[in-house]
Amino acid sequence: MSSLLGKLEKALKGQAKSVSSTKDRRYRVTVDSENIVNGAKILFDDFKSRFMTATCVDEGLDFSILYHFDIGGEVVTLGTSIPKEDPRLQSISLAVPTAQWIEREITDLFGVKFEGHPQPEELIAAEGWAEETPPLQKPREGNIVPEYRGAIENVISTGAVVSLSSFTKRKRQEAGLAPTTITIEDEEGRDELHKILKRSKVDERAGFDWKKKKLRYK
Amino acid sequence: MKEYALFLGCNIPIRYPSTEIATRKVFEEFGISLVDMKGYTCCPDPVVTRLADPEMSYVLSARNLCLAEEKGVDIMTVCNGCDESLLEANEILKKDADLKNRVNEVLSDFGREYKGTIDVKHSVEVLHEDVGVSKIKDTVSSLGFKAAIHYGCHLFRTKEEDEDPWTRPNMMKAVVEATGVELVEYGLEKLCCGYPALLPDPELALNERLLPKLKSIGKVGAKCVVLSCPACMIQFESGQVKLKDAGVERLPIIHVLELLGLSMGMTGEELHLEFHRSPAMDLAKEVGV
Repeated sequence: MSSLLGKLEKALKGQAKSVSSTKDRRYRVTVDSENIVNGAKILFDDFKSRFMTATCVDEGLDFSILYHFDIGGEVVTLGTSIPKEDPRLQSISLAVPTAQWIEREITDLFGVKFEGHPQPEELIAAEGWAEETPPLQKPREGNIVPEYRGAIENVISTGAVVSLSSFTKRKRQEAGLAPTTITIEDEEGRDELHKILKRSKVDERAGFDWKKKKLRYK
Repeated sequence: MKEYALFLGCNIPIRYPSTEIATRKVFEEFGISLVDMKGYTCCPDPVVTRLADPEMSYVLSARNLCLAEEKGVDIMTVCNGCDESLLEANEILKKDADLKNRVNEVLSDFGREYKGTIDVKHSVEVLHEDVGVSKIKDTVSSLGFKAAIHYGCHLFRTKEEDEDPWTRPNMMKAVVEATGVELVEYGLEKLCCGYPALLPDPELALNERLLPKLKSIGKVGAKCVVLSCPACMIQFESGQVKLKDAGVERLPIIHVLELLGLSMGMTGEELHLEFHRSPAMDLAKEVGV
C-alpha cells in the first residue's frame, strides 16, 4: 500500500464510503453528498493540497461531482453522486475558495445548485439563460428500454410481471381458489424479494424509486 | 405418490385461473401430488427480465429453485416461458461455479442455498412420462373434434440429456391426441405466436406472426387451438380481438390441461373457462361437458 493511500484511509475514516488507488499516483475517495464539505476540508487543510478543478458527469439518472486535488504530485479525486431529480450539493467554496468558479460553471452547464456558494451567479452563461435547460444536462434516462419498463417495475415491486387487480382477486375467490402463493400476495416472500433486490443492487442498476414504486424515468 | 412443486408463474394465477383449476383437478385425478411454493416470484420471464438484468434473472430463478429444493421435490411448470427460465437457470447454475457462488452469496443472507439437486419438468412431460398416454386414454372420454396445436417456441428448448427439439412437442402432441382430439396440420406449427415481440414491435407480433397462423388454422377446419403456455394464450386471445377485421374466425383457445379436464368430464363452469377472452366456454358446451 502506498503511503498516501494509508494516510487517506486514516484521515477519512468515518467520512468516506471508499478510498482506493485507481492507478499509479491516482486515488479516488467516494463520500455521501452530506460529507462532501468535510471531505474537501480534510484534503485541502490537513493534506495541504492544491485544488485543481472539478468535473461533473451526467450519468443518466445521477450527476457525479468530482473534485480533484493535487497532493505533492499525486491526484486525489473526491467524488459524490446526487440525483438529477434534485441536483443540489453543499458548495465546498467556503472551505476551498478556488472551487468557486468551477462550481459556477457546473451550475451554468448542468444545472447543479451549490448551496452556500458565496457568489451564486452565472459565470459563462448569460443571466437566466441556462436555468430551464442547462446545455450539458442530458434527459433523465436509465438502463431499461421504454418497452420493458412497466414489466420491470412490476417484477421489482411485487415479484410478478403482471399486476393482480381486485377484480381478479374476487373472481379467484368466487372460483374457489385460495390466494396465490406468488409474492404479489405473499407479504413475507415479497419482503425477502425486496431485500434480495437491494442486496444485489438490482434497484440501483434499474434506477428504481422504492417510495414511488416506479422507475426514476418514464 | 409422485410429488412435484407446482410452479404456476404469474400469468396463470393472475390471467388464467381456469388453467390453475384444471392443473389442480387433472393431476389430482391422475394421483400426482402438487405442492404449492409459498412466496415464489416470477420465474423471471425469459425475455424482458433476462435482457434487462441477467444477474437479477439468475438470482430470482435460483431462489425459486431453492423453494422446491427445500421441499425435496422437482418442479413442474405449466407455462413454456417459466419452464425455459427455470430449466435454463438450473442447467447453467449447475455448471457455472462462479455464478452459483455469486448467487448463493446473495441468497445466504436469507438462509437459502441453491444446491442444484432438483430437476424442472413441464407439465406436458409429467403427463407423458409419469402418467403415460395409455392411462390418459383409459381415463378420458374421447372428445372427437378437430383441433390445431400450437407448441410454443420454448417447448422446443432441448435438455442436456436429449438434444432433439421435437421430444417435448411430440409429447404434447401425444397427450392431446390421447384425449381423442383429431389434430389437423396447418403448416405453421413452429412459427412463434408473436408474444415476445408484443412490447417492442406490436405490429410485427400481430400481423407477421399471429395473423398468418390464424389464417392457416382457419383453412384446416380446426374447432379450437390447443397450447401449453399462458403467454401464447394471451397473444392468441387478445390478438384475435385486435384482428377482428382481418377476416379470421375467432376460435376457442385452450390450455392442454383444460382440454384434458374437458375430456375427463369436467364442465366449462367447473373449470371456470369464463376467464378466457376466446369462446372457450362455448367449446365446452358444444362438446357436451
